[in-house]
Amino acid sequence: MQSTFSGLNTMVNGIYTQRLGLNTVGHNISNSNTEGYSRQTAHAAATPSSEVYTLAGASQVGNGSTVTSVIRARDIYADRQYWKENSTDGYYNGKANNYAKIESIFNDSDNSGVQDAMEKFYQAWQDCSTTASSDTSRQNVINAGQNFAQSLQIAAKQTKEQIDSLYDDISLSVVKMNRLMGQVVELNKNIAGIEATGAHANDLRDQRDLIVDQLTSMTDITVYESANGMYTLVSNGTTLVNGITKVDLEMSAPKNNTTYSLSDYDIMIKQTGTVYTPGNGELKAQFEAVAEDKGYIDQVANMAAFMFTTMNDQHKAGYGIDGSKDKPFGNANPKDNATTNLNFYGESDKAFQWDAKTGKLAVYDVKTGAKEELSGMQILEILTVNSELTATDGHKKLATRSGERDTDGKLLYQAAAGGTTTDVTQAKKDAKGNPLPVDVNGTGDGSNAVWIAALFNCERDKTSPEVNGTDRLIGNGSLYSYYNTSMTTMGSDASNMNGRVKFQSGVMDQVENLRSSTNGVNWDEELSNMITFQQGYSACSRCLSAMDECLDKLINGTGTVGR
Amino acid sequence: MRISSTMMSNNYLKQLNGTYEQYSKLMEQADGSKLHRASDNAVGYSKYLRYQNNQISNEQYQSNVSTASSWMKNADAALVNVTDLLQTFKAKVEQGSNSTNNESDMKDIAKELLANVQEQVADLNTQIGDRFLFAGQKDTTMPFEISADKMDRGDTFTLDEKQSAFFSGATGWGDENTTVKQMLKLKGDDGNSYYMNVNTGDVYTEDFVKNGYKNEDKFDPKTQAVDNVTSGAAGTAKAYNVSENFDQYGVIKTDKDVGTNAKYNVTVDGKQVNLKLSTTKQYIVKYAGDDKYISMVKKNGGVDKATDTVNVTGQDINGCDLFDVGNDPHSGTARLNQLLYTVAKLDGADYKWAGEQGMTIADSAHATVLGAQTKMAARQQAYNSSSSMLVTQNESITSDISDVSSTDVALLATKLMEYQTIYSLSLSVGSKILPGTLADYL
Repeated sequence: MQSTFSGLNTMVNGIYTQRLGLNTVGHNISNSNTEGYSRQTAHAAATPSSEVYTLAGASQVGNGSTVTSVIRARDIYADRQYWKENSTDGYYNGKANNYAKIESIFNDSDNSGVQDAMEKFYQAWQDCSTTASSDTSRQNVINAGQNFAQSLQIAAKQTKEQIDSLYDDISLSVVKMNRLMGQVVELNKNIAGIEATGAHANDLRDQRDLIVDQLTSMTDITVYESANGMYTLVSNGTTLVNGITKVDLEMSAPKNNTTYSLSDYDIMIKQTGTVYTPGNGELKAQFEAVAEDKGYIDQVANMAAFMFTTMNDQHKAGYGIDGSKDKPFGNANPKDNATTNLNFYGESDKAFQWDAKTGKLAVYDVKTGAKEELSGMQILEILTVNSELTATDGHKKLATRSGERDTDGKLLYQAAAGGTTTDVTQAKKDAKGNPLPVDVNGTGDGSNAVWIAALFNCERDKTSPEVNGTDRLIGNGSLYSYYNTSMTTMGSDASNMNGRVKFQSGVMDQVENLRSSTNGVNWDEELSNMITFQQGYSACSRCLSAMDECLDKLINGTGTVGR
Repeated sequence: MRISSTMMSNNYLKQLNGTYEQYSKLMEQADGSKLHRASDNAVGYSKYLRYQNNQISNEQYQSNVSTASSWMKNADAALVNVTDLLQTFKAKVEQGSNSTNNESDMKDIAKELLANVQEQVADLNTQIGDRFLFAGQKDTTMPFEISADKMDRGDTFTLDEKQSAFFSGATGWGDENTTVKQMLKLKGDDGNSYYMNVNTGDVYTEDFVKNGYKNEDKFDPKTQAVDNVTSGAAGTAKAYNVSENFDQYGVIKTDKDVGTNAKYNVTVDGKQVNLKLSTTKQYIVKYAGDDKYISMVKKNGGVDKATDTVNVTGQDINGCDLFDVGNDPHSGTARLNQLLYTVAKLDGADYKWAGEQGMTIADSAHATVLGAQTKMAARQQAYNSSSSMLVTQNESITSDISDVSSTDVALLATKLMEYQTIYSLSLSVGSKILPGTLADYL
């Protein structure tokens, strides 16, 4: 026999259930724009029935409903896919950002970059070759040479600064990762605590997944969930978070890199002291970008080293027009004291040679013979026009004219053994150790300037016999074509990366849509549910008042006998 | 697929953003250039850089060619002046050859001729900017300088065509490849003049050189020589050492046993005759330039002497004479010193000489300068034709550059309009359709 008031209880259960449902709808709608939120559903079930004995025997009578759980709608498969693709997206974007910076450093489309300075230098040499004895055109060569050196230095310095800012970004990312990993640990604890009682920690889980989203854009993250609901985060073989423990990441001590005059860093794991290498994401892109940017500095440095070696060699083979007047040049007296064997770039007490074995520029001190090997920024730092040339009237020393050549175009020297020779090593030397020419051309001769200009736009075998026998840093093409090739490679790399960014952003759209098709809030759906729960609530209330009226009748309408 | 409400707005926003990005990329081209960074079009950018290089080279060569042309125009103007002066010179010499002139007439003519040569020297010292046009590569040195004092220069006898043919041992009178153009004059102690072929050392009598040879029917000058001063026996060829006795300008040396002190014993008709070198006091022009050529290149690579030369040197303009034998390079003033020799002869009122030798010298001087002028004209032609080729090339390079880097305005305008329409369409769709939900109807 059921108790008199049992029906009321059933209706109260119903009202509770409908209200919980309505609350959930409200929670969903108010969080419909919350990042990382997953819609929740209140799952209702009928409460256990009670056995009622009627005339026909025992029957089960329902006691109403109750909410058994509130569960978030989440597609774990979509999450995993999102995390994987998000790392790749971060990686491509990181690379593309770096290319955008490098492209703006080496931008020649508005005629103000390295190429422009290089062309001006070439023009100055050509101009000077036609007016070799004119002071203004000689000075112009020196000015254009300084300008070219500066434009190379500026390009390299800006690239170096880009590397510095990449390391700044990396160290910011490390701080951010530590913070996010700490939050994952806290959330792991709370979730495990809440779920130990059988509840679902929906909102905390949403928060935790959002943090993982952020982590995956920086590096690669693989997520394992343990039975108690805790996440273990593994990145490129390194366990970053394991339940309630985590590692601390930190930037290594700066490693001084003299080649590029900057400090290199690694990401270290504090606890083990080992290096953490990101396997994907923005961090991997940034480390790769550092290496790539160094490559651009190297290319600029190669151009500078080409100036130090091949161009200097050509300049050294020529003669200035500063010979003394009482010993004029001419066929009568080849032993004029006009300046020769002079570096255009670098001071006169230095000699430059490319060391093919080490790939570095060997700088010798002429007096002591001491050797120093330079590369990268070190080469660019010393790229200045010889102070003998920049001094007052120094332009007279500019080697625009050359010595007498044989029919093959080779320079003729007085041989130590008598007669003439084209082999410098066999030549008679003057007091300074310079080979004595058979004859030196007059001041109006600009043929050495022409040969220097040829280094810019001619491949190796079309340059002068003095320099076309030696290996060159920039290969066998012209300086123009070396720069052009570098820029084309950069352009097509950047363009490819931009294409991948676009493609990946399409993939991300798909994955995000896939994810939000499960966990996203649909207002129409929520509003329909709202109506359902509202109507349900009303119906339950109506039913309750019907029962109430019955009881009212029972209590107030019956047993009036004594009145 | 279940669609969440934010999915709609997110997707919409992304599409809108994408359209906007395309739109701004197109707007960027409104400055007339398709390329703003290497990645805009890697291949096009590479081409653009290369075409730029080509254009810079091309413009540079055009500038070189114009420098060369201006050089040659100036040089040509100077040489035209010189040839004009030479015509006057010849007319004056002709006037001087008239036997009716008295001594003071002759002196006046000589003065005019001297002024004429001085003006030629001034012309040959022409400068463009501060560069001398006719000094070879020594363009900062003034090349020609006329001496302040008269000096003793060796007497020469310039052969006319027939004489030259005969004494060179040619095969016919009109033979042009003759080796003997001039002979050195010697004075005998018998009062007669003798002439020496310096290539062989053979000495001839004055009468034979001037007239006697005409009677010969065989071109055998050796057998007609009276004696030989270099090998002792007539007809044995051994070159006379000119440079031992004269400097390169023809001024006689005064050292022991040479120049003024040189004596040669010859036998003429069985009689011993002592010969000495004959000289005349005259002004001397010296050359301080060299015989090298200035090049102005007009194509990639090194200097090509054959085609890139712009200047003519003193040697080209002034030819060579007997005193240049054994000197390399030549003095570069032979013609001018010959002219000054003529001046000295007319000053000495030698009208007969003027009629014979003077006219020959004036003619050959004119021919020499004309030759230098022709040589330069040919080079100027080469520069002109390469200039027009460079201009054509430049046109095609410029069009290449505009192909890769310039905006196709019509295409850009159409595309911009297209994207503008799409963009406004998306905006209106977004504002009007997106927010519709069930809430609007409750």
